[in-house]
Amino acid sequence: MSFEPKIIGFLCNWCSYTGADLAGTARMKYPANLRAIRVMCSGRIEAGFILDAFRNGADAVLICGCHIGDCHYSEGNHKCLRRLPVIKKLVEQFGIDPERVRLEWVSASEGDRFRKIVTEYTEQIRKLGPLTLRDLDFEPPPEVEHDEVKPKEEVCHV
Amino acid sequence: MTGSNNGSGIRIGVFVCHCGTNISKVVDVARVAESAQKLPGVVISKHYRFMCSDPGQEMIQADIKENKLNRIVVAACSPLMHENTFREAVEEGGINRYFFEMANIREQVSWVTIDPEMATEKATAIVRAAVARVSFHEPLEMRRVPIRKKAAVIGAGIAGIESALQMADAGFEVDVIEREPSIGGHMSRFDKTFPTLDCAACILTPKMVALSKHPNINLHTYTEVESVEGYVGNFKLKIKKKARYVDTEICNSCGLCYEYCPSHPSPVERQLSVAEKVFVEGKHFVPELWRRNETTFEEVLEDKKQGREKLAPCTEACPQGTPIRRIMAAVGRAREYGRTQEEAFDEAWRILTDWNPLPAVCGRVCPHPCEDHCNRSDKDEALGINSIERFIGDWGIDRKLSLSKSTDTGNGGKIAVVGSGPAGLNCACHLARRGYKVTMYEAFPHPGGMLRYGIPAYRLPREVLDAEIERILDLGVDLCTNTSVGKDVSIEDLRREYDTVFIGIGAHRGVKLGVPGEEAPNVYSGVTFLREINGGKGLTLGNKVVVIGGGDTAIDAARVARRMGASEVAILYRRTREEMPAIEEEIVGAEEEGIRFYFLGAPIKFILEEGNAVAVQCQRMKLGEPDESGRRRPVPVPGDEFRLEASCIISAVSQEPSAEGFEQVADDGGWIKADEQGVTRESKVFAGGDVLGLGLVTHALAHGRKAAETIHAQLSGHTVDQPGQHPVITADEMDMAVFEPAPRLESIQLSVEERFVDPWQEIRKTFDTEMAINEARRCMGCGSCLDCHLCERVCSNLVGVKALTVTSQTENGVTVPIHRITEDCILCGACAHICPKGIMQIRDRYGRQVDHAHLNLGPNSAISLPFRQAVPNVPYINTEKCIHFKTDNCGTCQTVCPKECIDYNDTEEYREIEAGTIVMATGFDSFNPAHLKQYGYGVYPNVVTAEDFEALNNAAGPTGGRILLENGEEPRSIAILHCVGSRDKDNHPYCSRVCCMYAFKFAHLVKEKTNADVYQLYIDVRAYGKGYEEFYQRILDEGVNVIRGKGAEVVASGSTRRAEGPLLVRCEDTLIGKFREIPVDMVVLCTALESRHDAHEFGRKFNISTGADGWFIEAHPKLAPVSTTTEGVFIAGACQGAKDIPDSVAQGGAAASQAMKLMNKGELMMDAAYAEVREEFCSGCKFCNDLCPFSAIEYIEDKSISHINEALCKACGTCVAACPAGAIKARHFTDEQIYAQIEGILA
Repeated sequence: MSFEPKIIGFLCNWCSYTGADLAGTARMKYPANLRAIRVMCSGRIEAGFILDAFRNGADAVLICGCHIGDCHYSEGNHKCLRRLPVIKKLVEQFGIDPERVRLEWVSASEGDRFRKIVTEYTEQIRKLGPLTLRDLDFEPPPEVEHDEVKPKEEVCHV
Repeated sequence: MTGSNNGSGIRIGVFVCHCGTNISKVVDVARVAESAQKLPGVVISKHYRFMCSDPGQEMIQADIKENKLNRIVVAACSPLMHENTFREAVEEGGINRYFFEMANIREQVSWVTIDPEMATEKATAIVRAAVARVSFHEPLEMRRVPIRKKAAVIGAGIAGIESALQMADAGFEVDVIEREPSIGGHMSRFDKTFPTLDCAACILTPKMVALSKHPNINLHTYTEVESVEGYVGNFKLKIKKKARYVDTEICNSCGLCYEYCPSHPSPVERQLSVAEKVFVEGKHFVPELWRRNETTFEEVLEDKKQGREKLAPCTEACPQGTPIRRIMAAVGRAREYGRTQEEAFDEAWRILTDWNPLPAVCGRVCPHPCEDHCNRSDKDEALGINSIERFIGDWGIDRKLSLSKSTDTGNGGKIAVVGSGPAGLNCACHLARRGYKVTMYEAFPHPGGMLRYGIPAYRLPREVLDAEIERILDLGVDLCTNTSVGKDVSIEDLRREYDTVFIGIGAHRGVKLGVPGEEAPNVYSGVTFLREINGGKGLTLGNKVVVIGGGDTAIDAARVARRMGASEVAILYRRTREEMPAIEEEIVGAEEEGIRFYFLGAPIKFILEEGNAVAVQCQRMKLGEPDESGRRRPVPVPGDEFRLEASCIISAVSQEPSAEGFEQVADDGGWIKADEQGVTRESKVFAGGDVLGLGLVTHALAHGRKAAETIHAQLSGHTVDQPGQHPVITADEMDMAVFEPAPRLESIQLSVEERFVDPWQEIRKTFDTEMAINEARRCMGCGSCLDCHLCERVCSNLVGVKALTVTSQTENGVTVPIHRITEDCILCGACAHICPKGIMQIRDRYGRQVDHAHLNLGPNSAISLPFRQAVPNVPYINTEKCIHFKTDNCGTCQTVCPKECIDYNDTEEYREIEAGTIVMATGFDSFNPAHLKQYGYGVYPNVVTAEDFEALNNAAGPTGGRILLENGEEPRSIAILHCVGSRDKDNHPYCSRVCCMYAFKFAHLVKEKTNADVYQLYIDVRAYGKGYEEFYQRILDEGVNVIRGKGAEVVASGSTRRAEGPLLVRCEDTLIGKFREIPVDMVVLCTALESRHDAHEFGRKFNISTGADGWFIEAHPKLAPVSTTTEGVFIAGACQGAKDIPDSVAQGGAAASQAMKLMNKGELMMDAAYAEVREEFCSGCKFCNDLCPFSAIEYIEDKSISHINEALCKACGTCVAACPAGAIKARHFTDEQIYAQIEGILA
């Protein structure tokens, strides 16, 4: 039997959770590996949640929020975006591949985008294999770079 | 199933819903319930078919009581769907509503998962998480929020208007904010609405007015919403009132400002703004700066430059196209041209005879259609063009002037002209002048045709006719009289002998009445009678002559008979005097001479005695329905007959050609068919004059000249120069006040007694020199420059840019300034607007008459109204067009405004308004198809969008509701292309819903207003509404062609054939499976409705989102169509999605009722979820203070801690996540709850 990863999704109430609901209403199909937790805003998500998820056996965490400029609370998603590099650094220090944390923007009307992201991410994690904490094979890359995630000079509130 | 208490006092009940089969089809609900049963704290776990149903909810409430449950988990649909339902059920059941958690196993499990095993496992995990979470739930109290009883409506199209009126009528105060200068939205631009064809303005305007006058409504037009603060019940909107430069309080909509605004940059002049001129105290009201110099009326020669000349209506009306304006200028303006009066008359004669070598003849016999169209009749009376023509003709005869030749040497060409009537004479003249050897064949002894043998001498003295014919013969034309072609010489002989033959044999045979007794010797046909008399023969008529007919021949015959001594002459005519085709002056002359008229009588037989007719038996007639000629058809009155005694009867009902010998070119009736240029079906045979069909002398002359030009072109290998199509200048375009009043001069006429001293003397006298000059000076020179220099002065004095100059008078005219954009010119259009003769126009490079892309429903001026019925009916200044804002000059509107309401220093004004609820009705934008190159919008001028076409159809629009091509003509065929931008994955995937129906409406309007063919190119017909399908059937019945297939391409056809349109529409007709090309004159693109270009940014101000297609997202597509995710903000109309007027109105009402529900209650229970600082943990680091986007966190200096204002907090939790000390608690989203959920979901 192939490996079925457990992925925890943190979805903001206004865009992404609604978008995920829309995928359901439209009867789109995606892997059952993602299990969603609803928060009011992606700005609510803190590093502890992610670490706790890994501690409890999650293989990956997917964070979804409103597109930049679309946040129901104006800029909660900005906060989430700025926290992400710190979170990635943090999980890396725990010996976890930062690829296992992913941030995506999904609006309330993007059911299909949600489906695509979940399908694709599940496949990616499946290839990555199950998370073994303190995995000795894992070597952290010298510098982690992500296109849209650039640490800003401002203070990062974690 | 019942379980055990875990000892902590938490007693959880789990209820798993089947949702019919929505969940249970995929998820094994029993197993989910069973595994939940084993979880700590779970007392009971059940599954049921419909948890949201009454029995479902009652089950929960019963279990709460029975099993003393204090926590409830429902595993069913999304919490966004039914969380509130169950919270209320739980509350009713007796426990706090927040002791509830919902597990979403439908939208996020059963509907998205294929494998039942995995679905069940996922559902189990989610339920486990919910159970784990709910243990940590705390009892919370909801917040009570007061709702201000005041609403704001954003956007005042039909949806916004409806919404505002509903709320205002219910007693709520409403602020209406509209960004445009007028309310009304898109609907105000429509002419008719489908499918009922109600006039849009008629049904909308009353609502607009009601809104503006409503005591509960504050209307803010030309106003933008800058920002929105606050929350449901207490919104604060900052609004920006844009500078209108006109005081809406004082303005009483008199319209003087836009009437006199000199800036009219668009090439299309609006009819409404020039319709009425304003008079103040009986004086033409002209602002000081515009008052003209004491200009004398000086005519300058025409501006020959192509495309800038406007045609005078007289020239347009003249069949020969005589340049009357030039001739009048030459006669009347000798001094201005530096000519002596003799030179001036010679010049006028020269110009005239270049077109018409028989001016003295025409000056006597032409019924002058030119005068009927003279613009001067709008001022006082039409110009006496015919009298002046006669004067010039006589001047030429008196001075023995000879016709000019373009060459003195023959060119070797030989032409035969058959018939020496006006057509033949003119043809011969124009060919002889070009050097051809012309031989004229005439069957009668003398030349002149009907001029000699038809028209009596008292109308056309023979010496005049002889002199003018002689002049033509002097050009070297040979004349063979008494030679009848067809008898004496055959047409074949002529064709062999000559290069070309022109046939102008006229129509000399009287048409028989077909009544018994017509063969009697004393019954003549009109033409025969006149021919005999004019040819010098005497006839015995007796005393009682009856003439039958109502045309000129009949009148001539009657008056001739009177002059021959018949004491009782009567005219019998089938219709009444109004229908008589004869020249009015001739009828009056006949009446004066004592000729009796018997109207409404038709001959049924001639009574004979001894072979001679002695009386006419007449049938009394009455007028019935109009026939194809437009005249009412006479019908017999049965049994009503009368008798007229007669010694001689002349039947002058009609005439026809005698075509013996011309069978090759003539049809059965003897008539010859030829085109405009005289070309017949036989090569090298031309024809003109009455033989083509009965007409006036001037028609025959025109035929002769055109045929001569064509013959010359053919023989010399040239092409005929077609005169350019110039627009005719109408009186409306001119400023009549410029012209001095002067009554029309009439020539002296003999009294009836004087006429019979010598019965053949001429009745009218020719003008004397002074009269001719004075009458010619009355000509307004329509379409030519007045040399008033107003354009120059307005440009330098008023506009202040000196962009144009007027060349000196001796150079014959004005250089019209804007034929290219000079650096100085600001294209304001003031020069064109001021021009009293309306000859100046600002045109775009296409020279359009109608510029479809810039059709304004209001005046084109810089200060204008958006449309006529605008509310408020107050103009605004478009600073991009306004001269004052470009050059700091002008100021005309301020000068003319009688109420001083124009203020150029007006500035933007900011205000704050409060509202408890907000209705957004911001509408839609029309899709711009310019980037769809295949349709050629913006490339081909006659490809228009639906919006352009609406403006074209609008009765208050620039074309007055006429459907016109850009050249000002009516289209002969129109293609209407559906789904442009809609149902197109590259643009908008959605259906715009209204296009099919408005396309059918267009088709109907085209059919109603024009004779054009209509082609509808559709993908699918969506006629889904009430009465829509019926309307579709109706337009099918009206003969509209519908083709199933999307229009693929519009290209220029390159066809010059008049029968085909210049555009080709290509498509695949999918019903017959064939590729088709349809030639049309005009293409209407049914453009999509799309969201406002700034909908996204604008929606953000109100915290509402837009979907992928740009429309605002409603809270639920079916159950909450006008609510949004922001409490207290509602959406209505097309901002939520493309929709038609009835749906928009319905949504406007629905949004109003939702808003009123909140406002009426006066308060709203708000979610208890908000953040609080646990003071004991707060270190006072202030980290959180700057994070809150709602400024809800304040720092309390006394305690050195932060504090959250719960009224402002919206519970996003950003601060909670950020607090380094973990001191902030997000109610209902606490760390404990989320950690429990994480652990539960992964356990």
